[in-house]
Amino acid sequence: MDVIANLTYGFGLVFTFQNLGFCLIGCMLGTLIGVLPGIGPIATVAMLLPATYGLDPLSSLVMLAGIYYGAQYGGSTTAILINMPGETSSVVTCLDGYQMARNGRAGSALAIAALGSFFAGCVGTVFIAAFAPILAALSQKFASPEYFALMALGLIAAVVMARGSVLKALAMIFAGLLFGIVGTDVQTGLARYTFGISELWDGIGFLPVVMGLFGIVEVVMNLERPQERKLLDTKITGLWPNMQEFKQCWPAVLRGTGIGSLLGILPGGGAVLASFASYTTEKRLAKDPSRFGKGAPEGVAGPESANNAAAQTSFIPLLTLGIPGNVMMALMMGALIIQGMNPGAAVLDKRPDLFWGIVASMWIGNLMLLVINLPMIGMWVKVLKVPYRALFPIILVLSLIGIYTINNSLMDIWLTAFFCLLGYMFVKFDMEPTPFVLAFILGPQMEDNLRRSMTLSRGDPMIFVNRPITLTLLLIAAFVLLLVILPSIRKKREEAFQE
Amino acid sequence: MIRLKKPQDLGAAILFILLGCICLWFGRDYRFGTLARMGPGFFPLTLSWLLIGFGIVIGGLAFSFSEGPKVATPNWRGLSIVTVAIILFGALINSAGLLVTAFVVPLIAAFASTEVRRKEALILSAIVSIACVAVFVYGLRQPIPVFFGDY
Repeated sequence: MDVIANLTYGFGLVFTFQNLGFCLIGCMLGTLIGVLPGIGPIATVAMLLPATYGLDPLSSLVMLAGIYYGAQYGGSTTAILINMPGETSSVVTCLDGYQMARNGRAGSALAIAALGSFFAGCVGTVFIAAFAPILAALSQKFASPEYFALMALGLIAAVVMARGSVLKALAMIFAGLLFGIVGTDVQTGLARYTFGISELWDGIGFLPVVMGLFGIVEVVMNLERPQERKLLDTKITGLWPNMQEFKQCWPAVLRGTGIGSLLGILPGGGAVLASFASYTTEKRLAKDPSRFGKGAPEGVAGPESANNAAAQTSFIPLLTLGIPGNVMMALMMGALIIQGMNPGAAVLDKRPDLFWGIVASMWIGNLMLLVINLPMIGMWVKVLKVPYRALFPIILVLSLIGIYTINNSLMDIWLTAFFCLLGYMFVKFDMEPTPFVLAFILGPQMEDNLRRSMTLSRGDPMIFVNRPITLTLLLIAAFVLLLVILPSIRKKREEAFQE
Repeated sequence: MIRLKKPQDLGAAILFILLGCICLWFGRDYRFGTLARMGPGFFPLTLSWLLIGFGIVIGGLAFSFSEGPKVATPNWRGLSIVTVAIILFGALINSAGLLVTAFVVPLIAAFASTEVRRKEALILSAIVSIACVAVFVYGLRQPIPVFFGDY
């Protein structure tokens, strides 16, 4: 079997004492920062990214995987213990996780989340190993029109996932694409929108945008909200779920993993959709749906597995097509590029060591989480008790040092301030930052592919219709967009978001 | 009577139109080209017009149909102090070095919260400053100036 041979190859590369050490450090740092209330996984990874720069590519990827899963798990921990979701995909975990904690089953809820995530992570890893090469082979046939259509689909999917007005989300895409254009035009060498600043010739840095819009705005918004933290005083006893809970959970874990693995591949925030879908599925299938919202263990097990499976498989479009499906993947893309590897179909061909190394490190990241983090839960809980007024100045200065160290560029600091102000307006005017960031990342590639397509067809837009793959992708995009615009479905979507 | 029903959407629309206009103005000299041979202006200028168009529609719709949420009052204290702290970081890091910067920035930032406690902020900033130098400069060996004149 190719899958097994490839995975073995990957594990062989990653399993060194040194790499495991880096993974452990990454995992702990990720959880440490991720567990802090009000700091989502995106901000956590962005903040810790600089810690991985100095390492060789493989070690840095292993450490990054540790940080990523640590951050994810940290988010689930805050959701369960203080009812504060770090990101949208752990909103669902709050529903039953926090109730379980109130019923004195906090330890069990945390263990269920970790075990479910681990199982989902294992399946997700195999899923990637099995499907990524197929998709990569398929994408070898892709030319510029296909890539353009694929990116259009990805961006439209981000619009669909965004809450609120579709028109606004579409406009956010145009705005993001415009910000992505800043820099030297690849084809003519013209510096566009650089205002005579030489630091902008390479374009706007990626980390200032993400940290400004997500990390620092989050800090400001947390200052606005009254800090009501209902940390339960009860000691966490019994880290293991009892037999009854175990029996209730395992089918939910299986279903959640399945749902998550499939939805994760979809562009535009599969993890969110997966955890919601899993929760509704569990509620529908349950013999007594009224238990949900009152501490049903399936309500934690399903969505947490789905979330993690999707987090895993969302690497597939990034690694095979070079297209990030959500902001976290965009961050990963940035990290990979810094390590000198441009995600896309070519990686599998040219650097199979890196590709399989990443896949293997994901699994190790998951394992670390289970064997190291779970027993240390008591320590993480203590971190939760640090008051916010003492935390956020530290978070701010660490983020700034992180941004500064990428290029030792002051420009990146000014940009961070700019995007912090812009992001604040986004929040106040209810504008979704996710489509903006994805469009910002894809902007240069999208323009390039559009221009190439048009050169290829000598200016005939029919090129997008005459090629079957392109046509299919664009039709799906149009169809999906139509779905959200139609009023009846729009109502349902709003209901889904409310739930 | 025309009445503003969705203030948030109006704010968004103004931002979109403003951005579109800025990009149109500064991109006015970029060659547009033709479909077959797109110039550097094709993509940005088309996007700018789209942005302005969408902005107008969103702004117009803000005056009709259903009522939307109000724009929440901004927390000027939090936003301005955090922004000042970021700018201070940029202003100080190369001239004064990390030791001073990592002390001043968290100290100023602490005042963004209304719950700030002066003594606590002072002690905390001092610890942060020393820890940052230890971790980033001596631990991770990042090329950051530490003291005055190191740059």
